[in-house]
Amino acid sequence: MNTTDMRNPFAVQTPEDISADDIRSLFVDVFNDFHNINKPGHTFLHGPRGSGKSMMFRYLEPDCQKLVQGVGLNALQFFAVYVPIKNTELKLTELQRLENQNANIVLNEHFLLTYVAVRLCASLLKAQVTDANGEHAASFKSYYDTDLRRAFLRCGWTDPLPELPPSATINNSFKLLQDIFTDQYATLLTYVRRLAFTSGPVTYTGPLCGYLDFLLPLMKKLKEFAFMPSGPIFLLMDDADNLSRVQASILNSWVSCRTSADVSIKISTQLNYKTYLTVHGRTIDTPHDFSQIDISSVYTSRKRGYHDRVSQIVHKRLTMYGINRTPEEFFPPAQEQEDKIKAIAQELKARWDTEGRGFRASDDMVRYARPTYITSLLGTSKSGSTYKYAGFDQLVHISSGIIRYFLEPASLMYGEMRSRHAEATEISPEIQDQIVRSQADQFLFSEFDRWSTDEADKEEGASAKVLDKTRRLRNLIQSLGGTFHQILRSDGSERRVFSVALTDEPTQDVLEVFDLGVQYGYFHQSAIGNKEGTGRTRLYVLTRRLAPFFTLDPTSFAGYKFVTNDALREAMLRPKTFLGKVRRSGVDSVLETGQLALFEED
Amino acid sequence: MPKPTKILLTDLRGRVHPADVFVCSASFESRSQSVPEQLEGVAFTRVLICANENFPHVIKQGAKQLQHRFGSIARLVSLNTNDPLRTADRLQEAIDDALRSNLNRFLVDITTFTHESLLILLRIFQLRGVDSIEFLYTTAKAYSIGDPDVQKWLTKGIGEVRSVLGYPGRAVPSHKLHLIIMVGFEADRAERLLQEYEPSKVSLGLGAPDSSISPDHYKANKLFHQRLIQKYANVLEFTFSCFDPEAARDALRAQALRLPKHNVLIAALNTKISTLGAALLALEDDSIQLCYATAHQYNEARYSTPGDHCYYFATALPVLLPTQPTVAP
Repeated sequence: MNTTDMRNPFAVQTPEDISADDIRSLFVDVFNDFHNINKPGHTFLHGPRGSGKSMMFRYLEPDCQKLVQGVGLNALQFFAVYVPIKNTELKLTELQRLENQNANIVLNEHFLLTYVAVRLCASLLKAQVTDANGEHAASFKSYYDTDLRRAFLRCGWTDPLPELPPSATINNSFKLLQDIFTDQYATLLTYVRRLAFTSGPVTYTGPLCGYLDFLLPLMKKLKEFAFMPSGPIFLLMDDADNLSRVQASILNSWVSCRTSADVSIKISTQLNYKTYLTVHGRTIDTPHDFSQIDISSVYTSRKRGYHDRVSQIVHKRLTMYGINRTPEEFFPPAQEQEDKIKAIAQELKARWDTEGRGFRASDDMVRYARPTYITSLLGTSKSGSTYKYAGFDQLVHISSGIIRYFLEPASLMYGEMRSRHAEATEISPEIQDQIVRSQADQFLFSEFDRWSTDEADKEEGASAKVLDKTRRLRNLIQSLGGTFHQILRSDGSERRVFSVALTDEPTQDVLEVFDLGVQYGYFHQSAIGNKEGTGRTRLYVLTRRLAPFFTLDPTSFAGYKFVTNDALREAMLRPKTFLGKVRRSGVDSVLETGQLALFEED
Repeated sequence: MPKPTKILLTDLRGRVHPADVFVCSASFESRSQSVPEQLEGVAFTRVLICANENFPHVIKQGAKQLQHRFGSIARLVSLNTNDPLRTADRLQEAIDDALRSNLNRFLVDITTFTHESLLILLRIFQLRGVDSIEFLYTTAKAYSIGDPDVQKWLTKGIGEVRSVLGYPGRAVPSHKLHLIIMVGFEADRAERLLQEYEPSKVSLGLGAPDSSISPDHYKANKLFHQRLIQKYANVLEFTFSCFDPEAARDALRAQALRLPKHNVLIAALNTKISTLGAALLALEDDSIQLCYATAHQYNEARYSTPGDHCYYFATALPVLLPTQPTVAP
């Protein structure tokens, strides 16, 4: 990252634009948490937008790995090829003309393969292979002039292939190969253009390369060269949700080949991958065909892992920007508020011998001091709005395991601070609180409106059903958020509750609403031992990004409540009645019984 | 090529040059009737009334009203905002049919076409080598009527984000992406595109102050730009004309050239005239891709009130490059 360009240490930047040097400085090694990513084997990496998937992939690229490990290319454990899947390159509207036509699969495979091949060559070039005595260039020329030329011809290549002059360096050779694939990609685009305004079949007469007969042998051969690592080639397919359905099924067919010793395919998705079927209609399964990782699960099950990661990321960014402050100093808490909370904690400690509820005095201090303080503000102002969501720790908790939910608000805070002061060596608690609250409002209102209509748009013909589902989700969030707020104000033994666990089997309609909530980041799904102790049951955790909206204490999300399916249905259909009952009859009596509503509220 | 002329709608009838085919688009916006109302009875041979079949009430009211206005020379052309292939097929049929009947001079009221349909229509004109086209665009007196400037909205929700049919670009897979957004009313749509494409560089185009709806609106947009610049690294800014397609094209070209060796993607979210500017550039330089974000909900009740003026202009579409495929009518 060129620091002169970096106007804001927390600004969002596409990882592929960050130099290897800067990646080395900025990246926090997370592969202890995601150990399948940098090991041989096909892997799906699922995570919401902004959870750090692309950064992980960028870190695996050879230029970064060489720097980090301080070794040459051939000493690395793998050779990673970054393949960003954006809407611009592969998912062209014209290709819809091929749907339901025989050529759909073969043409799309050739299109996808050509794209991957260009990226492969680009990676080889970026790796800056050294070849002092021309040995690599000579062996590559020998391969190009024989086997590779034959492979091209077998795929129906009729255009004359350029000659590779004896004087060509190894990098000249990679460039020549890249140009061949780039030209082929351009030729395909010309064909795609012809599809645009023609409803009948359009003849394609060019080559058709397949994975097994062309790309895999090419990669296997490349792997044999002395300059390459002995481990597999990794194809890092980033944001594969952007592939069309047929392209996803083609990629799945590649995964099903189980070639991971030579080529391991690492596929990142934003939880919206279109299909796990291959082109032959078979599903690919875990663990037989691939392993998978869900970033959200990892970071909502390990208490300190995420906090430490954010701390390191912020520290590195501040350092790079010349700000010598710790994350805690840069995002200070509202000191007066913290002093009052500490005073309450001391009172709780003093009373623990006679009135204590936890095993240790410190348990009561941690559990009740902050909720008691928040409740005391509610008692006086009725609004609770004077509680400040500020301080590095609270901000980390609120970001709910997704790094971008820390960095984006931080960038806005920094911008706001800079608009008021020439220098920003810390962010005032007032600005932290203001931005975090506005982000929570935005998440529940404008963003909700935006994606709920998006969803309705996706399911043409079922808009009313989808809108109904999104309305139920909003009701559910309001009901549970309101309930958790009531718990915070209660004298319960655990007042910091963000989760519900189901006591019985959920019905399909309830599951669908939770699924939608999980997809858009309002809930995280996990599992927990059931009430009877005979097995496990679903646990849904409300995102702590909404803590400021419902005036909740974000510093723990360990507490949960059991709830019946009927109670959840009532929460989805009649939130006002549901919350009224919670206030009148108490949380447990409502959550654990519930009553199916006869009519929905307006 | 003369600049677009702003003329009173009531003077339009006496100012338009003869044309064989008048093309317009029915809409829930009353602006869709402004030009047709003035041109009723003009000696066209054919009138093509485009209407989105997935908005049945528009066909029922707006299109029927236009058909009634032009009587037997009117032909309904059914488009579909959810199905660009169908839109392209219907537009092609209508244009080809006119050309077969030797109707070569077109007058197009672009006011209420969707950006995507308009771009597809222009590509068809270029493919067919139509060289006599004039355009009309009715101004709006107000948008999002009655709402304060910062709360104005025209559409809500973004559905599919897709490349515009006929403008796939010529991306080089090893190059990085430069997304150029011609920001309009809903600045948050621009941010959604940014999230969708995750470009290496983004250029945010702001309608030039002298062509903005109001100074307050210009200020609101400017504020939004500042917010995005805080949040995203590598954001560039530029201005473009909302009411001169060739000036808009030139501004876009200059912006695209600022970053060589990038794949250029343009999202036109401002006036239809500036969208025409984006088309002019992409029609002459087929390496550029245009994209479109479908809207879920339109502010149908309070979208706009028609102004008293319209812009009237001719713009020569770039001739087809030898590398571009042609499809005979």
